[in-house]
Amino acid sequence: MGKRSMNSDHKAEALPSGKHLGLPSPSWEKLSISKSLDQNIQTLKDIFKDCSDMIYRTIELAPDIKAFVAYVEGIVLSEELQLHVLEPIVEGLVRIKNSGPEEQITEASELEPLENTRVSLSQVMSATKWIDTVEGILNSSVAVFVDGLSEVHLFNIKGGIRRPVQEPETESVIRGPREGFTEMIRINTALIRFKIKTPNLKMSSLVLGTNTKTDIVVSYIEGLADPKMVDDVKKRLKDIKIDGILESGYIEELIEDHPYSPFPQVQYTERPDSVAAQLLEGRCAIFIDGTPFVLVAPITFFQLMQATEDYYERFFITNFIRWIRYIFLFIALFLPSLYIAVTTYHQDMLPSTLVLSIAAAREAIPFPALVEALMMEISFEALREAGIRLPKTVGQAVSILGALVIGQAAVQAGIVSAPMVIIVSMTGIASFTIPHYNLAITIRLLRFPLMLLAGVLGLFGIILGITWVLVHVTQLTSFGVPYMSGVSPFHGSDHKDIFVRAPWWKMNKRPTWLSKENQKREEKDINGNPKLNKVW
Amino acid sequence: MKKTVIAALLVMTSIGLAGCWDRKEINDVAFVIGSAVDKEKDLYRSTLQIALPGNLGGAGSEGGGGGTEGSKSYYLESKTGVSLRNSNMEVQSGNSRTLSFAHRRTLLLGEDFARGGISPMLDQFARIPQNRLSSLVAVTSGPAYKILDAEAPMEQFPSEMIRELMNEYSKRPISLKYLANELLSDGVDVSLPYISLQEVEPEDLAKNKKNIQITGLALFKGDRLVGILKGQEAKMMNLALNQAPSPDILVPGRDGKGVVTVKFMENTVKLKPVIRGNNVTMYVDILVKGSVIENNTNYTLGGGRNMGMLEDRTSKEVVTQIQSGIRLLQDRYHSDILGFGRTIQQKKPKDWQRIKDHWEEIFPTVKVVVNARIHVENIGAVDKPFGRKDKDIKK
Repeated sequence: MGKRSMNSDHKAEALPSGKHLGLPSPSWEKLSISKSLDQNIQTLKDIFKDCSDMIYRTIELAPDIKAFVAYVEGIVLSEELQLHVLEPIVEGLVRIKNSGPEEQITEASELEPLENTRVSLSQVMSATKWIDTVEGILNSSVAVFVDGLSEVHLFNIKGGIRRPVQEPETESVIRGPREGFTEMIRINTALIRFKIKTPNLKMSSLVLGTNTKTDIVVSYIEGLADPKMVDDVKKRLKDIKIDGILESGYIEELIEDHPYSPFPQVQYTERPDSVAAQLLEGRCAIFIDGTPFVLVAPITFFQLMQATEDYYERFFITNFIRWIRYIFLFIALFLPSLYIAVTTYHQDMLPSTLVLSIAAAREAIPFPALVEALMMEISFEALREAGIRLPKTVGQAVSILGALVIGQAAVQAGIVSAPMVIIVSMTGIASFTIPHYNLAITIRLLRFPLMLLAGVLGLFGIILGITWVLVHVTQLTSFGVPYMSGVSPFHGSDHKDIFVRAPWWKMNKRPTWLSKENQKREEKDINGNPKLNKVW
Repeated sequence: MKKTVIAALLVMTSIGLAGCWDRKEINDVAFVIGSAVDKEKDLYRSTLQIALPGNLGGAGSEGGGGGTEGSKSYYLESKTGVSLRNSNMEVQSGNSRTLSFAHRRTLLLGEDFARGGISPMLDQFARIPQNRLSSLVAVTSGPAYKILDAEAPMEQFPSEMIRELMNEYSKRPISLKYLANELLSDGVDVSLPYISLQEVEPEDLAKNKKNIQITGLALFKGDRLVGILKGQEAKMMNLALNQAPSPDILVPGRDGKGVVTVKFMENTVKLKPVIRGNNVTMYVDILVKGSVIENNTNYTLGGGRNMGMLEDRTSKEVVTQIQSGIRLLQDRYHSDILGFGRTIQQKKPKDWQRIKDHWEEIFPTVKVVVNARIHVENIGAVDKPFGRKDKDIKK
């Protein structure tokens, strides 16, 4: 259906500059739709010249009344276009043709409005300005021009080929929902609506990016989220002036409190259940069209140490796993620097047999411990990077090379000592236990300055490093919420979900740093209360 | 902004300038794992046992295993000097790596050196923190350096072996810290394990090997070695010191034939002074839970009165042995290693104030009453003597 337009007109037009970022203002910006269909067709084809994905089609609505249909191929749902736009128009046309000449319609204004009678779509708009028309067409609308009418009908049938809802790859769980966000914002917001069925779940939308016109939705639950915080999020989003938003990362960097901090202040997730849980605690979610990652703010450091599954498994297991995670957080951050400090400054600190076996392993190593550690850590990071970027089939080769060359051959050749290999692999594994990738990267990054400090000042250097990190982290905020909330400033009831995860029948309050007034989320202690207890 | 950058740069420089001055790679350090102190005329002879990591069997190195002929995992270096530190520094001047004393496992004192007094050498241990006060101290029979070079087939280093031996010998092995503490306390004298080389194979075997063994208890008076208790006496004195972890005692059979071996699984010793004027009576109460680990008499231990009689005989054995040991301490060595004086000081401080100035004279006259309450809880898996016919077994 339709025919492709091969536009050969390459005449360059001098376009006046305007407010658009990256693109000059177009000449048709203030133009209105003309009554003449031919002129409209000409303007449209001028605007979309050299756009081979534009589809144009002319239909005769009544004798001497022509309609002109234009849309971008691929971004509209073709079945719906067929079923709900083209077919009704053509059918109506047949009806008109079959009727007698006395009923002949010669004036376009005598036609019943298309959207009322013929087209059975819900999202219908009409526009009189070219700028709105163009925007509509680019936003997956089908534009229908009618001869003699100075307005255009825009039927929004967004669709086309998009990825379906799949299991999220970055945050897989053993127990929990398998659905993940997709690249389509409406599917994503719908996934949340499926979970939270209250009109208080608000989805406030705006458009960012002068060229990409990316749809953004700020979602929150009215009455739970701090209105000041919501306004703050909205304001920061509105202040963004950029030509394009392609991923949530753009927005994250543009709205975070401390752009120079290595610590992530906004969480991203692919999981609707995670976003729903955050909304229920009183946070804000930011959906961005075109990416399956949804931003969540404000967050705390400890939130990044929690995995979705923590809340689905029974609390014994969760607590055990959470402690393991915290232990390995310290290993990921400090193990290489501790090794450097202890082997080059504080040999007295190790047990005698251990110091002798380390000394034996390092006997033939030509490099100082710091150089050795840096070498190994950097090559580990390189291996990791190579493993991510490479196609899966080649990835195997990388891991074999890494394991054999770095793990085995380097030790046998006496370039690296075996304890160092153990340290590096421990650190590597430890950094993978951190459930949120952005925090894991931060920890990996902080390891290097700490290693340098340890190499220069020993344990004293590590203490300096920790002090710096702690001072920094305690003064960080995420949308005004202290990064270490719960611990600093301290609040007892928040500790039910920081280092431990209290059973669900004990976690009856929302985090205090989020909702100041509406804190109760559960009847107190269901299992301990005989009145509420089950009878058996 | 500019100021911040400058401040940051200044801080960074100071770190760079301050750093690294005491950096010592682990392979530039020589770990002293044991040392021996002897007297040579007026000079100290310090012998250091230094680990050779290259021979320890780590990756990229040949050899391994301790004490094997040819490639030992340690070597000895010995120098003399006017002080202990001085002689150690003499060793350092002949060594390409920095000596680190932090991992010294044991400190051995030669018998002759100990007789001359050990106080003067102690200063440097406390003054330089690198010297660990947790090193264990022992007195050796003959020169201490000979022990350091003895065979220690089970361990990588002889000093490690001595440490393990001492850990087994006492409930709380005597470290340098404890030694200094005892030296400085009123009313107690120091006792240290006494180490000597013992033959481990019959003499007619071609290679006559010698092994390190704790054979006694070295008794001090003040900081001077005054005597050595050996064999069973030392064992019993260790029990009286409340230090024996689980000693065995051989109890003669009811009819004098054969012995029953009783192992003391739990034992505690309490001292209780009773003072009337200058007459001091010291009650030594020993409470033991034991178990029979061997019975080569032909008396059964299952039921009947044999059990009670065994307990009585054991108790008598312990009492006589300890009493004779204490008599030796009082009469011959005048060494109060059980801390009678300290017990009086703690339990009867007023009396102690009165008698402490002439405690030296009072100590040999202290009347010692030893009580041993022994309860055999466990006779093992068989009650009758195993391997004897029923008709031979006496009830």
